[in-house]
Parts: sequence; structure tokens; C-alpha cells
Amino acid sequence: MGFALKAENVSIRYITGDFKDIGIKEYLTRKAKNNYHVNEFMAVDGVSFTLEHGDMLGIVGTNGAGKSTLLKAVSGIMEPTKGKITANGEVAALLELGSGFDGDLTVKENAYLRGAMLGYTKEFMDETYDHIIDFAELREFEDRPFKQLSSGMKSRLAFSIASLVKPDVLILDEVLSVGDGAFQEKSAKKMREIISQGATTILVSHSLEQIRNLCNKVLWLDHGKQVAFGDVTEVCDLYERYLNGESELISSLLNSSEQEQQTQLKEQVHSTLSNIKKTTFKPLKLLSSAIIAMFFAFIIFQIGTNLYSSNNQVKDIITIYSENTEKNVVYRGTSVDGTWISPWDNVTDHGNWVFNEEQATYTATDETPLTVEIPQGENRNITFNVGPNEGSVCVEMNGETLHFDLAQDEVVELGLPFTLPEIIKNVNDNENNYIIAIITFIILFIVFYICSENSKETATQNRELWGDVLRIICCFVIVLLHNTCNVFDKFTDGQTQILLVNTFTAFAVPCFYMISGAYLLRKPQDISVTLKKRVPKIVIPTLFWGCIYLLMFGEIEIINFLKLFFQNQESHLWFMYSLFGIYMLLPFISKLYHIISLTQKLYGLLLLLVIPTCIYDLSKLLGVWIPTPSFFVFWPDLGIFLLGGFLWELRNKVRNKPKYLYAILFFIGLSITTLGTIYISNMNDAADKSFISAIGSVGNIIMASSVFCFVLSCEENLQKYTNHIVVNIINKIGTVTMGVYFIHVIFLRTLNYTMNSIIPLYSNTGSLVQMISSAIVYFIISSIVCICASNIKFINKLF
Amino acid sequence: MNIIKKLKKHQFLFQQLVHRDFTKKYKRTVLGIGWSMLSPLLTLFVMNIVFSSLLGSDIPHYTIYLFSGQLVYSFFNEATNQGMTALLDNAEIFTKVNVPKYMFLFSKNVSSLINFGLTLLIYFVFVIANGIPITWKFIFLLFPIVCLVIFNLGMGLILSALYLFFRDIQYLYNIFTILLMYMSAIFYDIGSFPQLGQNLFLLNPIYLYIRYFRKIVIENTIPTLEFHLLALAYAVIVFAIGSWIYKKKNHSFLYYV
Repeated sequence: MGFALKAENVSIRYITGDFKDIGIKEYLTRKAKNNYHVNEFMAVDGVSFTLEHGDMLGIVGTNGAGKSTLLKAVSGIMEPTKGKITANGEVAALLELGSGFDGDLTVKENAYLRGAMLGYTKEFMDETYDHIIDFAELREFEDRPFKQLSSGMKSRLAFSIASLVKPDVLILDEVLSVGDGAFQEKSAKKMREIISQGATTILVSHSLEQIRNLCNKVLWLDHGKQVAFGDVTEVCDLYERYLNGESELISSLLNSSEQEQQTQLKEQVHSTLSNIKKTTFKPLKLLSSAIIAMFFAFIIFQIGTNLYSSNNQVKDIITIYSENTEKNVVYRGTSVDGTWISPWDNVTDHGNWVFNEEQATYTATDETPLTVEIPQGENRNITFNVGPNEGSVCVEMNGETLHFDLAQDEVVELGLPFTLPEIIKNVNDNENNYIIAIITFIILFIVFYICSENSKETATQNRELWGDVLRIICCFVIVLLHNTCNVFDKFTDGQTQILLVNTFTAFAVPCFYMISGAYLLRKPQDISVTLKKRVPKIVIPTLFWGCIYLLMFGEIEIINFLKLFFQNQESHLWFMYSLFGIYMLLPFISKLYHIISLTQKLYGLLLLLVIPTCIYDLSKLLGVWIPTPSFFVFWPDLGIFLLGGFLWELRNKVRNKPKYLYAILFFIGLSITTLGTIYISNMNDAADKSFISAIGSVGNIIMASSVFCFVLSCEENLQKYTNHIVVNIINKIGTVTMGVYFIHVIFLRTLNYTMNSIIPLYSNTGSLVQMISSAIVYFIISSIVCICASNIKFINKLF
Repeated sequence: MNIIKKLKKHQFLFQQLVHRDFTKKYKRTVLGIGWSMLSPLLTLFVMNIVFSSLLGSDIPHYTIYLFSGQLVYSFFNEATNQGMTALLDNAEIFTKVNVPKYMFLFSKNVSSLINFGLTLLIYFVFVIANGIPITWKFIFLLFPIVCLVIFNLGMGLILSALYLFFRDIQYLYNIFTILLMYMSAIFYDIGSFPQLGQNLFLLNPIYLYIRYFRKIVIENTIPTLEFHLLALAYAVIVFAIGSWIYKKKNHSFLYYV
């Protein structure tokens, strides 16, 4: 134990300024005009003292010396900005007696309430209530409303309640100057009694006499600084002399006043500097907040369109009659904008038409109509069987009547589509969307402008260049991948170019895992750090963008949003969900990784990565399904993650190998994937992408590791390259690759429609050159948005 | 563990605060506690006259339908409106004594809860008078009540903190509650909206709790599991946000008073 209360170098920052008593409007206008000022100053600056049990400390000083603030810190109402206050036991504080009572309650009720605030129990209050009221000499006022008491009576009550405390530390702030002379004496007596019981007490008073009488130690504060601490007579004499103007602040005070001058000077410089900063116009800040606001307004606009279209899916009713009952009429289905709708789904009333379940067709038997629903759209077809035996059909729709002759010399196997009149959606209905988007833009622009910070230059300096370069390469390749992946589905012999691009891009996702592995497996990760920092860092944006994707492109139903917590609702986000799993395991994996030896690591890689991928590829090549043994460990995601960490550990060896080795390796991996894909596609007579898309495929992993090793080995060369601007840009993009990963899909899916008239953009269509150049555009736009977002508070966590 | 200890330590203070809030609230009114029950009843009465002829013709048990909405909404409205000022009203105390600041809010909420309990009793009288049988399923009403209490506490935590920072929150919040009243389908049926519009109503927690009451009392069915989860999720999320603000700002509150 030893001490009762110890303050070590305590400093308390106090803030005052415009934030008090202002409304939101005021706050925003001042922020916007740069007229919002908050002043910080040290109310208490570097105060240290130690009190033994039974000590009574008096604190003296002029008004505004920081006495009350210090007491607030001791009682726990405030927290020291620097330093530490340790108290042994309970602390009870009586700051500014007489306040904190409720005028409407009776004296008795107030006594109980105050007792409760001081931490007494009910039993204790029941027991001692009589004692309190007698000591305060307020027996006859017991049931009167408190506000009827005189201020002296109020303080008497307050003191009576407080003095019953048996705390280890008691704080009294200008308490003893209350009441009439008799009561003052009584209270002083009571105080001595408490002190003699061993309580440590802190007393603030302007009456030096009182302090001389009661205290044994004194602390003298001036403008928050500790002038003196020590024996009561010594310090009190000093203080008295100072008050009488007999002495300047001597010795220690001189130093501190010098310090004060210095700090004042510093503050002045600081404030002028910050004023300069404040007043300079920041076009970059303006531009970046405008871009982000535009981006979000664009998202809102797209969400509006999606809501509108899902809400207003108007369907047209078609009635179909057979015109000649002697011949056949077979209805096969309809299609809207390329989406096939089978009769299963859209026939509402079939009259006497007969349904053929095997072929999913309706055949007319007489002249009764067949009623079919079809959504509105531009490109709408209705399909009937054609052939020599087919008759003619009459289709009625929106009052329009169409006749189709189905008789034809040759039978077409799946029927022939006939064009239906198109209905162009009324654009005017979407006008609200523009308005909402513009309003969103304006509001967000203001909010983002207020929230934007000066870009953090310092944070980027410690980044490893190779990691950022690799991230940027992978991220771009992923954009390219998403821009080309659907083309190969229509596999034809002539499209080997596309196939090559497709296989080439397959290294990007495994490479991302490897980067994460290389960074995160360096040291064992803490559970709390993992859960508090790492996991939210990917979970929050994943959920956010998952929601945005759903709102923009998906079906807006609650259940889909709930599913977001468990599954990716947007196909490319599977990567994040898988990474999320690995992150959660991180404290475990990383610790394990550091314990085990090199051979054990190799063994783990063999189990997790090499054997499973070989089996997978083999089964695909042979065209047979190899049953997965139930004991098998097959999590290539984790395997690749570990591989990244492993390769980083061996980085010195990796760097010593000649670089062309990695080029050769990459070429081998590329050939394996390409040839394998051609082989299995030919074998199945259809485009088969299982080699390309599988993360655990031998070729992909060879490609990914060779790229990884290549960039890792280039680190020294990169370090030599010190063009500041380029390095800065690489670092900037490197920090936001995850954001690019999230948002490029939004541009990929929407920009080619909205921007087509200005810049022709292609996603998953067009020639190879067109797709690659479009991918570059998407990548650049996404990066710009993400970099802008990284300067804005709160929002930057999402990118 | 820490929280339980803390609660135990401040149990007496909490009792005293509740006692204070309750006596202060009803000390000067002639009708006392009766007043607090009477005011929702009067609102109900007016609404019933106005809307039953306008909107309620095809809704079964329209009075109960209305009362369910009114009951939940007025509890929410009262608890949050009073909770909003809880922190500032007690500024004198928490700048002088080190007590947990959420206590003030919680005690305000308790007195609203007592009010709600009394109104709930009248509600059941109405239910019986309307000829609706009281079944075992009524036990499930505890669920939305618990959710609502947590939700109110969470909103109170957020609002009281915001109110300390920006005093004009009060006016904004008044507008918000009026909007909320119209958005909570208290006196109309949402069946006439398109499906998407009906789904949007699920974003409104107050509507959710009202719907729960109606489902149990009028339709005598227990809502689905998803419905339960959603109702609970709103309450927990709002409460978590509120607690987070209090935890984070605990020591800076006193600069604002």
C-alpha cells in the first residue's frame, strides 16, 4: 500500500470553443466557412504529488489555476490526458456543494438521493438519516421542498451527508466556507474527526487560515503548473507573500514562467500556422470530395433504377388463338431481351390447349385462347413450332392483332421465334431518380468536404514497394479477368487469343492470397488485434458493398440481405468471404506457423496444396470423377495463403535465383492451364473453364508463385527507383487495391451503358483490344475514386 | 462481471433516480398517474372517431388495431423524448460526482415503462371488451416489449448524447417522430401498397413491433423466426451503437454542458 493517493506528472487538456450550445446548422456553416474554432489548453500541466494515509492536502491558487479540474480528475469525472492518478480505495468527491440537488424534492428525498450518489447503501442511509438531519439542524424542514431552504441550510445538509462518508480519499471543494460561524466550527471539528479516522482528504479553499489549521500538506498551482508542494507552513508563507505582492514567483516558478513563455510562443506559432492551413483553399480536397459524392450519387441513381425496374415490372397479356384447327399449333415459349421464359412459368390460362410435359409445349386442340404473360422489354419473341404440318396462329396483345404463318417446308427442331412489338420504357418515370441523385450529391459533397482530412503522407513511407507493385498488378489483372471471363464461354476454335487472356488472368486471385500470407504470417497475431482490427477491416466493407451490389443489381428482399452474413451474394466476393475465414483463424495459424519447422511447413503445404490440386487436375484431365476421401484436407485457399508466407520467409533464396527462371516457370504454368483447358474443352465439346477458374489448379498456382517470386526478387531493383512521385502513386494505389476490388464491378456493369455515347467501353464483349483497353479505363477510374475516398474520414474504411 | 458489480454498487442510486423522476413527473398534476394513462386513451379516442370511418371499415377489430399502434408508438415516443434530455438535465450531477452516466437515462426509461405497463393493462381491457379471446400466445408479447425497451434505451443513449452536442436535435427529432408516426401504419393498413413498398415497412422497427402486437392479438398467430430475428437485431444494433457512443465519449460529455 504505502500511499493513499498518487499523482504522477498529471496533465489535463481542457477544450473550450465554439462547440458549446450550437446547433447542427451553426456547426455546419461554421465548418464550411472555416470559422469553427476549438481551443485546447492545459488546465493542469505536469502535477505530481503523493499523499500518505491520513494526510490532508490543501490546494491553493488563484482563480483558474486548475484546482477544480485537478479534483475532477482525482474523483474520476475527468481523465488525465497524460500521467496517471492512482488511488488506494474509494474516492468520494464533494465538488461545489449545494449544486446537484433537486429543488422539487423534499429535504429527506434529497438527502437520500445525495447519499445514493455518494455511493451509500440504502441500509446505511436508513440508519444514519436521523444523525444527518440532526447534524444539519434541519429536523423541522424535513418534508419541505428543497428549494425553500436558504443557501446556508443547503450547504449544511450537503456537508452533513458528505461528512458521513467513510471513504479512503475525501475531496472537499470550497466546502468549509459555508454556514454561520457556529456551524463552521462544528464542521471543522467534524473534519478533524474524519481525518483522525485515517481518511486522506483534499481540501480546496481560499481561506489560508483554514488551510493552516486543517492541512498538513499544501499544493500551490498557478495556471495549471505546480509551483510548490510541501509542508503546510512553508508553502503557505510563500503563497501569502506572493499574494501580498512581496515576492515574484521565485525559483521554481521562474523556471515555469519561462517555460510558459516558451509554450505560449510555440502555441502562437502553431496557431498562426494552423490558421494559414485553414485559410488556404484546398482544391484537391474539394475535388476528391466531389468525386466521391458523385460516385455515391451514381450508386444511388443505379439503386433507384433497379428499385424502379423491379417495382414496375409490368407484364403484358398475350392471347393466342389457333386459326385452323385441322393443323397443328405448338407454343414453345417466349423470350425477353435474350432471357428465355418457358411455358411452365408464364401460361396463366390454357383453355383447351394440351400441355406436353416432356417438351414443355402447349398444343392447340380447338379455338379457345391460350393466355400468356410476358414482361415488357425491347427485344421480345414468341416461339412456335414450324413445319409442313403447322397451321397459322393469331396473337392478340394490347389490342393489336398479329398473324403468324407457321407452315414451312422444313421442320426446325426447336421452333422459330417471331418478333413481338416492343415497348420502350417511359423514361420520364425515372425523373425522380435524377433529382434524388443530385440531392444526394449535394448533401454528400458537403459532408465529405467537412470530413476530409489532409492526405497522410507519413503513413505511406513505411510500405514495402514490392507488395504494392504486386497488389497493383494483381488488381489490374482481376479487373481484366472480370472484363473478359464470360467471353470464353462461347468457346470456338478461333478464339485462342481470348483463351490465352483468360488463362493468363488466373494467377491474380491466388497471388492476392499469397500477399496476405506474406504480410500476416510474419509474426504471431494477437486474438484481440485480429478480432478488433483485421477482421472488421475486411468484414465491414464486404458487407457494405455486398449490400450495395444487392441494391444495385440484385433482387431486393430481406432474406437476401440476411444471407449476406453467410454467403457471397455477388459472385466475385467469394474471395473476401474465404479470406474472412482465414483471417478468423489467423491467431491460430500464425502462432502454429512460427512454432513448426521447415519440413513441417513443407508437409503442411503438401497436404493442403500439392496433393489436392494434383488430384483435382488429374480428375479433370481424365474426365473421371475421383471421389474425395473423407479424411482429406483440401483447402487450397489456406494452402496458398501459407505458401505466400513460406515464400516470403525464403525471400533471400528467392532473390538469388536468376529472374528468367520465373519467366520460364510462368510460361510452364500458362501452358499447363491453356493446353489443359483446350484438351478438356475438346473432350467435352464445350467450353470448360474448370482449369482456369479453380483456385487450386496446378497451372494457376505455378503462375501465381512465379509472379510472386518475380516481384519479390525485384525488390532491390525497385528500391533503387526513387522517383518520389511515382513511388507515392504506387503506394497510394497499393493501399486501396481492396477498394478497387470492391468497386470496379460497379463500373464494369454500368459504365458501358451510361457512358457509351461519350467513350465506347466494352465489358465482356467486343474484340480483345477493346476489352483490354476498357479494363484499363475501369481500373483507372476505380483507383481514382478509391484514392479520393482514402482522404475522407469514416468513408475510407470502406475502400 | 464488472458490469454486475457496478450495477449492484449503484442499485440504490438507480432506485433513488427512478423515485425522483417519477415523483417529479406527477407531483403537480391533479390526476397524477391517471393522467399518463388518460393521454394515450384520449388520442386513441380521437383517432378512432376520425379514422374508423375513413380507413378502418375493412380492418377487423379496428379499435384494437389502432390501439396496438398507438400503444407501441407512444411508448417509443415518450421514452425517447424524455431520454433525450436525461443527460443534460442531470449535468449538474455528473459534472460533480463520478456516477455512471447511463443511469440517468435508464431511470427515465423506467418511469416510461411503468406508464406503458399501465396503458397495457387498459389495452387488455379493451381486448377483452372487443371479444378477442386471450390465449397462451399472448405470452409472446413479452418479446416485442423486451425488444422495444432495448430499442428505446439504445435510441435514448444516442439521442441524449447527440442532444448534448447539438441542442437543435430536439426539433429535428420532433419532426422525425411525426414522420415516423405516419410511416408506422398506426391507423392504416399497408396491404394496399405494392410488395416492394410493404417490404420497405420492415425497415421501420416501430412498425415491426406494432405488427408483432397485431399478429398476436388480432390474428392470433406467432410471427416467423426471421421476423423475431429482425426485431431483435434492430434493438441490439441500436443499443450497441448507443453504448459505443457513451463509452467513447464518456469523458468528453462534460465539456459540452
